[in-house]
Amino acid sequence: MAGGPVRAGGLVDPASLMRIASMELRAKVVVDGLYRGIHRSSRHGFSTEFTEYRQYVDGDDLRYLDWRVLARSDRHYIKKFEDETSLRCHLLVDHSRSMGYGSLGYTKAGYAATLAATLAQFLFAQGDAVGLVTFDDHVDQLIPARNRHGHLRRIMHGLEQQSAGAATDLSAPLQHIAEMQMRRGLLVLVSDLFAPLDTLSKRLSHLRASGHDLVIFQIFDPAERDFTFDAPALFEDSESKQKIYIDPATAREEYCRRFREHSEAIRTIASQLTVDFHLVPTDRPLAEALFEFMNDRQRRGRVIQRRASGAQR
Amino acid sequence: MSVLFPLFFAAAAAVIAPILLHLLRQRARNVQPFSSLMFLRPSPPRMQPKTRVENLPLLLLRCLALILLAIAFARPLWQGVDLITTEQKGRTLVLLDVSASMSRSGLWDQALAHLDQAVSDPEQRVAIVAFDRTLRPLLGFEDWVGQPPSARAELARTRVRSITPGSAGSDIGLALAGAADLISDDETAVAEAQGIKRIVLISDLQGGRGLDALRSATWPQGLGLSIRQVTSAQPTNAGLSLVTVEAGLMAEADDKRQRVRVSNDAVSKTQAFTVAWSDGVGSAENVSVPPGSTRVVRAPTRPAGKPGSAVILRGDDHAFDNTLYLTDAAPVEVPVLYLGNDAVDDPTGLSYFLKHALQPTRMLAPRLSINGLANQAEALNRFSWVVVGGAPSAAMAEQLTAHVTGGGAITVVLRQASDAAWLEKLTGHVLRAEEARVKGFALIGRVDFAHPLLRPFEVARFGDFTKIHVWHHRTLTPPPTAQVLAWYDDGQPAWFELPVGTGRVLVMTSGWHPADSQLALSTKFVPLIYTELQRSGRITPRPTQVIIGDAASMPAGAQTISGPLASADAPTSASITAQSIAQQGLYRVQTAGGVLVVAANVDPLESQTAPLALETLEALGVSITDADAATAAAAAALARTSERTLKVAELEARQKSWLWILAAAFVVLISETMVAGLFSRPKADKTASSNAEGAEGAEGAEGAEGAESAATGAAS
Repeated sequence: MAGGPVRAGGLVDPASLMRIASMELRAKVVVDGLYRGIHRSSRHGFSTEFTEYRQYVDGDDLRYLDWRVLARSDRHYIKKFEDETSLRCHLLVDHSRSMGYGSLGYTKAGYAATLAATLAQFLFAQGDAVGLVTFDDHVDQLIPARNRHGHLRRIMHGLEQQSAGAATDLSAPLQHIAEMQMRRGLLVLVSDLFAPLDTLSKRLSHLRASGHDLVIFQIFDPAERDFTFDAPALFEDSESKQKIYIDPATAREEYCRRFREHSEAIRTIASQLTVDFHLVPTDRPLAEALFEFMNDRQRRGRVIQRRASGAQR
Repeated sequence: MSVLFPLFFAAAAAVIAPILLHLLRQRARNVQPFSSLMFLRPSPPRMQPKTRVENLPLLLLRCLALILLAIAFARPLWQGVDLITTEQKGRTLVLLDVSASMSRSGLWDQALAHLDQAVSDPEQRVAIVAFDRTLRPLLGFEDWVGQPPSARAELARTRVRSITPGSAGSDIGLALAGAADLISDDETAVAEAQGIKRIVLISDLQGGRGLDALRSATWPQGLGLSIRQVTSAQPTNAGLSLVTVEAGLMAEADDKRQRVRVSNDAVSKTQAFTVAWSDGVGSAENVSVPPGSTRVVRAPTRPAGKPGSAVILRGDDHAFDNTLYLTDAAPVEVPVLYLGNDAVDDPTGLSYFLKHALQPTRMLAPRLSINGLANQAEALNRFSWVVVGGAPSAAMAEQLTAHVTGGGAITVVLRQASDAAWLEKLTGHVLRAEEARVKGFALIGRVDFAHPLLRPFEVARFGDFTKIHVWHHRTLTPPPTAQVLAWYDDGQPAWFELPVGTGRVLVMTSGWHPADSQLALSTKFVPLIYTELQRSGRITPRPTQVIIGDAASMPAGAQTISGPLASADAPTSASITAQSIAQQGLYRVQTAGGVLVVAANVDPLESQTAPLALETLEALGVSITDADAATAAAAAALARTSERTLKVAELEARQKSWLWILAAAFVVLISETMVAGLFSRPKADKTASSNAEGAEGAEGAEGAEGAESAATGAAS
């Protein structure tokens, strides 16, 4: 991956990146680039952080007894950590048909998969457990979060499978995930979120309520944001196959307004639920998105630390 | 040029559709795939500026195709219209109902008024036929044509005035079928007078014998039926008919009074009637019969020895079917001859039991004569049945042979083995009879219930012959022509029947007297004897009731008929034929078997005056042109119009120009498709829009075809 066109300001141009066939390689390129850019970044991450001492009660696991404190003060204390193991992260990747749209030579789905692969690569390299859930109107494939040899390859393979899904119905798969009783961890939702707001809000709060930490990447094509069409045409919905006649000259303004409103509404919902929300156009370098994500996580980590001062393990 | 269905021209208005489509067409119809329309609202389609039409040739082709289709479905024809507008004379056959139900008050006057209307057009060929159970021509087509036009209607009125409704039943089905035949015959005879043909039925449409006769006939093409129904203002009608006692072995019930059936019509308004004797003797019986039902009542009691001749019904509106004439049914005498030497009062002999078995019944009066075997008997053919109980003398055997060969029936009982010897001569077969060795008793083991003699015992509860013990019987081998009726349990034939000449001989190998068997004591004996008597005797039940108009109900072999009589024993008047019995009353009939007095009455079916459903007629293929009483002129005009329509349709069917126009429409459609294809041939820079045009061209073709199929649907 050497050469001018690949690097743009130290980051890889997504159009060039998408030409790489292997998802693993793409992720590697991005993550390597990221490391190069943020070499100062601390690696101490989100896990193994000591939170508090607590009085030992019968039934507590003796492994976490602080022997030193016992030796020193003859008192039984349990040493509590924010998370005993490393982070468990599930990548929720939308495969619905609307994700198949792309005006830049690659689709939103391709971009989303690469983003997910990048995150997976990055987290895996940190030693976190990474899982994958792909869905359209139902959960398509589910790879549980692991951190063992070969698991990353499995996730990459899962991301490479571009199944042409049906409609975006975030409601059903999110509910399914919420009901899966996964161990609490990080959920990264990568989708265009073209779905009704009320059910989306309900599902997200459900997920939050079950203790998951949530990060949302809304992927959109620049053409979707700016409605860069000139000629009137029959616009065909990729999911419902419905056709309506649109004259962009008259429709653009309203479209952009409503698109913005939708994104803003999701952002509002996200901030209400203390969920990280990232609006990612597909022409944005992936490393940037990833960097933003890491920054947020770091900040969030501290926030959690503060908030979780009385939390259970 | 003329068209068959001008309304289809309205379909040509459909050309507006392609014109509007061409005007309204949106410039860009290319499809732009997009991820989601959830933020989009449909924009209103933009009209083409002003009235500039795009793709003029395509538009013209599409309009042309639609117009051609409309013309094709309008079915144009090119010539010969003058030919079919000329007026044609037709045939009218007036069917006038003269059955008994037409004699109800007011109906005949209505019928005559309808007749006046029907014969008012002197230009037509008119015939008048009266009908009840049969057809009676009153005025033929030739009679009508033979008169000057001005005198024709008057002639018809004169002929009709000569008749009035009689007492016979009606058979509308037969009348219609016959009338259709008469018209067809006239058409064959006078071929040049083509034109409309119709039957004018003037009737109360009383059901009568129904329409069965019409069921087997085919209603001719183009023959219309105009119905002029006459109706009575008073719907209540009830009728009387006799309840006949079936001829049989049943003893008559204690009550000797005549039974009559009172039937009330379904449309009647009252249900209370009285039944009384016409001469006023005895009291009147009250009877309540709900509308649509019948009830059997006994005629009022009369003093003994004074038989009444007629029962009358009171309480309904119409009198034509209220009198029922009655005669006493005398039983038929059946002479039976027994040839044998045993005395009639000897309880060990055959004749003793025969005499006791042959008791008179209501319908049969057997009379037993007894003659010795050796004595010269009187003429045997006088007897219906001859029983031989022994071996007759040679002379008697000769006589018997002649009797059987000539068609007589005799029953031979073998009391001894030697009794069979004379049968050899009679039958021409060797019959060696021997006395059977019976241990204890023999039984009748097998019976052929298929034989007419034994068929009454076919039902299982009557078919048990095993209670009859047979002490002695004879064995002999029946000739191959014989039919064995019953076998003993040792397999020997018990009874068999031999055809001889045109007659037959029933041979019983044991007698019914107590010395031979218990047959005479069993319940099988009397039915057996009576069955054989009815088989062999030339017994014809003597009818005492005749239905007026139905010659078939006359006694068989009626030679001279005279009447009507004032009473059963009145002196004979001039003789008439069975067909000419038109009045109710008593008639004396001379038959081969003697003189009978029969009562002629109205057909009971005639009492049901509810009119026929016209749908029944239509279901039989009769084309009813005007069921309600429209004027004859209007009917004729209507018929002429339909005639013209038929002619036009026929001419059009011959020309079939619509096929060519339809073919032209298809050619236009194909060329439209080709032109559309030509337009959509990609020019380098206009690929998208011309593709859209191609798609629209295809759509246009589909649209036209859709219109065509819709038009086809409408046509069909």
